[in-house]
Amino acid sequence: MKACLHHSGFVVGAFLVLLFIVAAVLGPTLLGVDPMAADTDAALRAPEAAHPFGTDIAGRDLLARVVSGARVSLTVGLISRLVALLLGTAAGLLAGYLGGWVDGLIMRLADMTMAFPALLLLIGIVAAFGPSLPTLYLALGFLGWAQVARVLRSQVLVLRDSDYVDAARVIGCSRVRIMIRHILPACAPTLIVLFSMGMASAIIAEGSLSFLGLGVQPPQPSWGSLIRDGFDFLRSASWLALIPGVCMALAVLGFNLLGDALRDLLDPRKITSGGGVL
Amino acid sequence: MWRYLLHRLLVLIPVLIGVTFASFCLLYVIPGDPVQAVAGERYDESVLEELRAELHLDDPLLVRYGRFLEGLLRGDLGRSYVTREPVLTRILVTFPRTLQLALASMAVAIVLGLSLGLAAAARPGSWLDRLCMTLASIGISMPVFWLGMVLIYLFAIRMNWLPPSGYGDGHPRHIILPALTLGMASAALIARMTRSAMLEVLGQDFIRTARAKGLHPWRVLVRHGLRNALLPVITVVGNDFGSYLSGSVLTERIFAWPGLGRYTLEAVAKRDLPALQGSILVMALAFVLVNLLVDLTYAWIDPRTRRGGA
Amino acid sequence: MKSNIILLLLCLLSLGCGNSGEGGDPAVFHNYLSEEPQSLDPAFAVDQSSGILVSLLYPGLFRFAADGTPVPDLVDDWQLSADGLIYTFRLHPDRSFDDGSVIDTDDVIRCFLRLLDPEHPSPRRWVLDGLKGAQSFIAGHSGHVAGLNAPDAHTLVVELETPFSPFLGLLAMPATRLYPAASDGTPAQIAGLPVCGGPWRLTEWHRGDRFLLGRREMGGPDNFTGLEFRIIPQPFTAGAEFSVGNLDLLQVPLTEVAYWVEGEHKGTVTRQEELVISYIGLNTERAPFNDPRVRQALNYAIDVEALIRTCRSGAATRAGGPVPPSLREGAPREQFRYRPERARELLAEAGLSAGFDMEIWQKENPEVSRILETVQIFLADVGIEVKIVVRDWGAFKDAINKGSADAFFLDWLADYPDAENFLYPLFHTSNRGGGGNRCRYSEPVTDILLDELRATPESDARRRLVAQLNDSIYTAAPWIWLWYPVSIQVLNPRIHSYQPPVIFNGQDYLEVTRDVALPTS
Repeated sequence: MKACLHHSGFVVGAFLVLLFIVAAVLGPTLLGVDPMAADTDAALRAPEAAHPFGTDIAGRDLLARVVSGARVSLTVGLISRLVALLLGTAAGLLAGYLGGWVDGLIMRLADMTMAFPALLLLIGIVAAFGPSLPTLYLALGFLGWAQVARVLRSQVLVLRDSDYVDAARVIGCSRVRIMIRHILPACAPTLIVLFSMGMASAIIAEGSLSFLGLGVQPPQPSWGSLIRDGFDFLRSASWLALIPGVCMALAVLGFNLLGDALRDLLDPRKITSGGGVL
Repeated sequence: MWRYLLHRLLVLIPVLIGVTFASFCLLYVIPGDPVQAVAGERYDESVLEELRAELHLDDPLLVRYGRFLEGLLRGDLGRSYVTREPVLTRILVTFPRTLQLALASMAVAIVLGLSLGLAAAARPGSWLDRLCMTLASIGISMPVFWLGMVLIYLFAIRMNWLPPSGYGDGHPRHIILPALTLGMASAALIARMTRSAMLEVLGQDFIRTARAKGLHPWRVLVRHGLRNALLPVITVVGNDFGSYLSGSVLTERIFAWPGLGRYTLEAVAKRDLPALQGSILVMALAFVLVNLLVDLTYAWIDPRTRRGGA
Repeated sequence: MKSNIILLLLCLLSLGCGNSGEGGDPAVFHNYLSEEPQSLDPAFAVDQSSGILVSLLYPGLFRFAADGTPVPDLVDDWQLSADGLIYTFRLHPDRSFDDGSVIDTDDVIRCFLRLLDPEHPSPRRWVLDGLKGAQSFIAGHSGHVAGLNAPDAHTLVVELETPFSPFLGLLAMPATRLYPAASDGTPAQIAGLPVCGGPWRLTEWHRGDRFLLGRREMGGPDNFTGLEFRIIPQPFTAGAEFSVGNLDLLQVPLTEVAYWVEGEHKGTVTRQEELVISYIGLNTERAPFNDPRVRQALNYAIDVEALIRTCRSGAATRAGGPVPPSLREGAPREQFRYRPERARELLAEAGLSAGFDMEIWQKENPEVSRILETVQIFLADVGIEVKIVVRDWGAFKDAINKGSADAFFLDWLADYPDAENFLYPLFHTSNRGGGGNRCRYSEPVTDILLDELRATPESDARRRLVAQLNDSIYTAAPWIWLWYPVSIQVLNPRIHSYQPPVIFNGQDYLEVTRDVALPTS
């Protein structure tokens, strides 16, 4: 714990992540401003005391919308990441532990998923099932499974031959039991790091989709849709694009720093944080 | 080594077939119909039927997929439903542009990343180190669509240093902003990895000896440290290069860059299956080949990795 | 190695500096398209970008002037028979294609037949299917079209089945442009470039990137010799290109009207009410929109004036029916002013005083989202819960053509400047779905009047018919009437004689000039 507090990346990352989580959970209540409440008389106000982040063209309070967007972006990140971890862990465990054709099949599927242009896959899935929050959870989750599975598989390969797993096998534990009770816990640090870094790329991916208009449906704001909307006003009301963009970048930064720090502290090797290539 | 290479190449085939089949099925279940793009805003239903028949859109999924594979064997990617031009013709024009952008982004990533990383490692803990690492952290956190527009605003509109967008017939000025946008995240990653790799080396005895001998710190840094930093750099470049090729969709749209990414985005919107199919195949092929190249480099440097073979 | 790379980067940067908006060749008009044209084949040029290019590259019997009237292009003079059925066109004797062949009536007949040919289905078949004998040609009963005859190489006689007064407009559409044919009937190409014959020829085609057009006939010293169209999908990017001087013309995004019009803009602002209507179509086959009272209530519940002020920065005229004011006579209709209390009354009469839920579909576009978000607020006020459904272009088109959306936001762009183009395709039962009638409106009386309108020659009677149809459809409210948009463009201040066209392919850029004398800013 002490090591954590001395790790500057951890402190900054954890602070940012906590800040946005608190904002997303408590913000709407604390602010008491409806992010959908339009007031055309107060349209396009620059940041001022009454509206710290200014207002948009319908006179809606940008702070309230950014906070509400945080809720959407973080929820999408969180749930899609859970989906990715769940799928990826199962696949990685099976591939690594069972080996043989199961391994081959799962790894080829992972290769396919990774070789498929990510954004196009997202657009395709969203177009097929209609843009909605559940679609986003599943689509982004599906996109992330391959990386999780690969990392986990290589770790399971090492653990499979370790003494304590051998011991469990000797005393007659079933394969499922070995995988879940003996191998999985040993992978926990890896999963935590994958989760934190994956949150960062899921937030960016949601933003990219919303930027193309295929993310969260209006009038519900997400950071991506706020940025996209804001860029139409870059010359006339620059805060509309800049503030949500900065928020998004800070949140991504937070999750990346936290992930890096956790990797340093928990020491699962071979994972690199994902950038914003989408 | 040759057996390993052959094995890896053979494994690519089912992956590529899988990718094309998946994209085929995906487009099959998506609501929407390519003939609606061909037909425009006002048409007779009967013409729609005739167009569907002409383009063989009423054939069963597997028949159409079989036709695609058959064409593929002859090196024919088919004709676009919408423009009716051969898909290959368009890909041969657009893919080199995307490749160009990917290479430029890689150059940005390496140059920027190594410079920042080296600068930071030269005086660990100094303000320079902190500045470089902060820049790296910021670089990795910015979504490309946001970064791209901010760069256009700053460097094109405000400062008027660089052209805002376009291909400019390949003039290098035009590639700088999109390459910065696309390469920024990897640059940041490379910077961080270079720094930690350098610090690892610099802590070792022979470096201290070299320093004690009065060698200029920069020379020590470059001659001894850089070599050690190369492996992580190759990793990042290899991982990200593939995604530059397939992931430049947004960058190309923002910078009006006439590459494969934009072509593909339009193909999705119009449900232009042959165009999409061909582009995805090329992107996936480029992705797996680059990955193979990276793995081969690894295997060459460190033969132990050949066993992993995933 | 490393120092080399840094050197390279420095070189790149130095190349980059000093780009102070030189804007390229002054003899070229720099323009852009927001979407890649689908096809340069007139028979398949259904989208705006294709239509613009096809109209510049290929000649037609007529073309649209900037004010929207069809003016003779290849035609020297023409006559219409008293019954309004037979058109006799004299073609100009010495207009030719770039391959040197003189354009004669054979070319006209060949290109027109290809549009109708069932062997090569063209989505623009409807343009000429009113020719006498066209239906039996399409059905394959006849090898020629009875109403299409050429007594000599430069005289063309066209006979219609029924009189159709906007017929000359059809002959100015991209679909009826003329081109020399390759062996399979498609427009001929030489070295990958189409063989042109219009005001411009395609000199460079950088696929996916830009089109460079060269003037075919000498103009004045200040006229442009080249015309460039780049493809720039993101409006933000187009704005950036204009502000650094790389574009001569910019479609001003509605969010930036104040910046360009009132701010320290660097251009000449033009405003033009185009032949376009924006509307929210209601699926009249679906409950509760099959009840006119509900549809009227929706119209009363929305303050369109306020929407125009906020979401369009004032750049629109409130719609009083489907037909734009320039194409009809009569006082502007004002029945549906903003009266939420009247909307509630009507909903109560329809038995919906508790309100209801509905979906409004839109193609992904932030401008439309902003409009619909405001519509949502107005309708919530009378108890109607709106869900905005954003779909990508393909899925959206599919849904509205099949009638699977409750309501949808759409624009209708004129093909030719006549009231009929805003009535028959949009409200006739036979055009339900992809024909244009996406609100699936079906009213026997309207159908009869629409058929009558199509067969009536231009006259007072026809004008009265237009007014009657416009008013009755307005009152029946199959749409939520929004507005006729005003497009705002900024021009490079050195450009002169550019008139923004009311119809998308109504500008031939031949008269436009650049004033080179002004010192560089």
